Amino acid sequence: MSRRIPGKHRAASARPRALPLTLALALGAAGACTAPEVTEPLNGTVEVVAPPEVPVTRPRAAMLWVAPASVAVLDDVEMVDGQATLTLRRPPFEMLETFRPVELIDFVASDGFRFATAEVIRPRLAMYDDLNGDGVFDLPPPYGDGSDTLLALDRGTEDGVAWLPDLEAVFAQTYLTFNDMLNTLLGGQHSPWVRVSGPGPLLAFDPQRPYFLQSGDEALLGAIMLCPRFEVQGIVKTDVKRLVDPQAPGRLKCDPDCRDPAFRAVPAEATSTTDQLPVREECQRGRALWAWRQRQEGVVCTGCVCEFIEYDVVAVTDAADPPAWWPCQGPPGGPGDPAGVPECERCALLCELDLCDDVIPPDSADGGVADAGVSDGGVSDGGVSDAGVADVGVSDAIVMDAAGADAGP
Amino acid sequence: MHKAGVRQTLLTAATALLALAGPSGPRASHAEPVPGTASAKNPDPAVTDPSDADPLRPPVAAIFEPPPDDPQRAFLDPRDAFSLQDRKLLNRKLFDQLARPEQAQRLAAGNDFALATADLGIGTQVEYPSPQLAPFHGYIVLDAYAAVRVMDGVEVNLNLLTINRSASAGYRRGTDLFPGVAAHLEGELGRPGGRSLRGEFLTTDLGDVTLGKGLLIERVPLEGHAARLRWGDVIEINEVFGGEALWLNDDVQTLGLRLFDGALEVNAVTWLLNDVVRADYLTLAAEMPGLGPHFRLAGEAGLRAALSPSAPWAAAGMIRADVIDRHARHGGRWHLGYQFRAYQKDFGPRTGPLIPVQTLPALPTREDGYVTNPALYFNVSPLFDQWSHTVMLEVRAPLWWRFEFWTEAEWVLRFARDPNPDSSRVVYERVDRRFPGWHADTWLKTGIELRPFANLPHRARFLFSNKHVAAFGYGVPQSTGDQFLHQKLISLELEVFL
Repeated sequence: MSRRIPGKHRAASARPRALPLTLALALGAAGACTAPEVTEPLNGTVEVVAPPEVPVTRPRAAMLWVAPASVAVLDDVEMVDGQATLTLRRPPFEMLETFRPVELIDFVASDGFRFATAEVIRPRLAMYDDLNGDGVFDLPPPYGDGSDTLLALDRGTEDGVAWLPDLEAVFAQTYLTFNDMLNTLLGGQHSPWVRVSGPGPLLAFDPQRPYFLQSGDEALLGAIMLCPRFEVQGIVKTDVKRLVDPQAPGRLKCDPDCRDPAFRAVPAEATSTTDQLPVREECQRGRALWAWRQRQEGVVCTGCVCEFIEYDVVAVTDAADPPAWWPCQGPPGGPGDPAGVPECERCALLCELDLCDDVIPPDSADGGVADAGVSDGGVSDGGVSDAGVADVGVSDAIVMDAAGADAGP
Repeated sequence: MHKAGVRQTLLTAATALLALAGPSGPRASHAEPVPGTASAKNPDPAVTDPSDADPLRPPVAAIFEPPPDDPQRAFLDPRDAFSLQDRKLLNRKLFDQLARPEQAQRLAAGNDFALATADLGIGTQVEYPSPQLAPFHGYIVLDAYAAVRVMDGVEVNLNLLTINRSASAGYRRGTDLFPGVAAHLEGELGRPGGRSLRGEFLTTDLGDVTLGKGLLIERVPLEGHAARLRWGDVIEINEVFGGEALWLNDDVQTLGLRLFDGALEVNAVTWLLNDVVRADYLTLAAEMPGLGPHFRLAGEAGLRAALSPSAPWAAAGMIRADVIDRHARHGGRWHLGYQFRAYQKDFGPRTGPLIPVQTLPALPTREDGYVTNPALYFNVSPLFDQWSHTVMLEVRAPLWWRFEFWTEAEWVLRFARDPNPDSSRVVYERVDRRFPGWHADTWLKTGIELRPFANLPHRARFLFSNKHVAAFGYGVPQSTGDQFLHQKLISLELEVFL
């Protein structure tokens, strides 16, 4: 049986004549909208701060790319009051292939989940002394033929700035929630510049946060300059000794452990030394005691691996009767090596050793006679101890009993 | 599971299914019109009999088609009358639904007290051009319904959706079960002004929920409760509460007013989120009257109101226009639709960190839905203004005997811009969908459908598609942000409607 379909008769008369209207509406609405422009990655900016106490005549800051065979300075500005704002620019195209190996950076969520890994290349942020005042970083050897002095660089192993060569790939390998985290890490901007910290998680890049440059010796600056991410393996080499002459007057806190029976026969010296760092020596003579220090301190780099070195030997002897090897230059006609290490004028070696009470006051008339002076009321600067022993709470400090010093020879 | 094994299993199952369905015709134990229902009011049931008229005309089963006249309009019915996509049964008022003439071809069993029916499908999906096995490479879906009429106006409905997505997962380990129970109460409270005042209450399985024209919530499966008071066809006041709609631990509360049989609709919506400020909305939806059964022009505007501290103001709007012809020449059917949607930044419920919306339970049957959905815009709403144009096209065209050409296409052109001139944030929704910017997507399912029995709706489909329901978590909602994935699939589906 054939059944009539309600509405069918209407359908025949009301064929979809509104189709053109619908299409016109669709096309009209589409045409009214223009596609927004795709956001392109931005240049970044970073504020750099000069390290304190760096002597400089014309301080300037520069942002540069250092590849094995070339250096490109892409921003160069004057530092005012120890600060400058540098514009971060991507490296020249012709340099890109020379950055090998590139570093890999992990992007890590707050719960430790690594949601992306990306290649990064680090620029160098530098402070230099524009010696010829031409406003251009004339790179010194081995980076160039100029004569400007490189004074400080970004902290290559700590807080740093890195450039993401393929920012879009980093975003595309994640989505939504992790994109949101990426945006946060990039300072809320679609920026290829990211602030990195250490070998692991990244910190958000904050252009407003000052960036402190680090001064250092040639080896350190050289390593930062040339290595994409050199490694400083902590203070891995230390050799610190405190040696006291058994004949040294007074009673010291470290007694009797610090008194070395072989002191007078065997010269005190660091077990380890390096020829990559200068040796600094200093002597200070007190009323009854005489101190000598031999020290090597700094960063020693082999390729892109650097180590902090601290070799430090301090010897204390009887100011009136030092051993034959004693390297300090004594007073005319007195004990000591006439050609030895001169007395330092402003050092506080004995005070560092908590032997301040033994220091001869500059206006003293005794001329350094071994008169282990009694401090005020027998109280050392370090504080009053129960038995009259200065106790500064330093375990390896050599602390002299004021009364004992008096009792010295 | 070996591919040959899949094929053999499917062949065997298909044979069994078709034999089970058989040409014995429907049993219509429930076919008596239920008093007070639409079918009782309509003595001329709108069944499209495939055997009538042109013998070349393929069988057209009306089982998924909207009833031409439904004055009762099922409460919260998300099924769009202006679409050729399947209209599944609702998990409520099952007695009324199965009493309708277009469902008369079912083999459902029962009586006036209890009733049961089911849609059963088996199929396979294979990727192309590489013959990789897709997640649903040998699935079976049993969408079973049961209802008990406790008393007149009081029903308890059970929808037991079972899917075995693949034998490859191990014995019964690839099976997910989604039970939903709905208690439904309905009755006439009086006849003020000569019109019937009816009250209705539904809990807890609300099924897919659409508010207004779909500006804020469209086909979101919810559990909670809903109620309405309906005074004739003139005024309806409704309330809906749903838990965990699009994000973990969120809640949606709505209070709605529908006027003139839904021609005008106002909804106040509060979206509660556990980690960011709540969202309060007022939406107004309207549909142009008098366009007849083939045309629709509708729109909805929404305002997010800053009713709580730090909440933003934002607006959104949409227009949808549709042309549909279910009785084209030679038995064809087609639908052409257009949607324009615009969402101001922060209109989405979440204003905090980007948390993608949850995907729905991954079922092959969920592919019967548009990709264009408000949830799509909520992913990046905290960052961007968004707008889009969508064109939908569905065509069913008879070919030969009982074969039909079958296609569903959706073309989406979507834009996003950052209204903050000082910001340049970027988000990739997918590896090829970068915002801000614009993106065009084409989603397509096309192939051949066969209804081998003249009087039965059972069908087989062989389809090519690039539209695949996101199936990462199968039964577990996953926050992938996309409810559909682009994946080229060849699928074979066999379905019987019991």
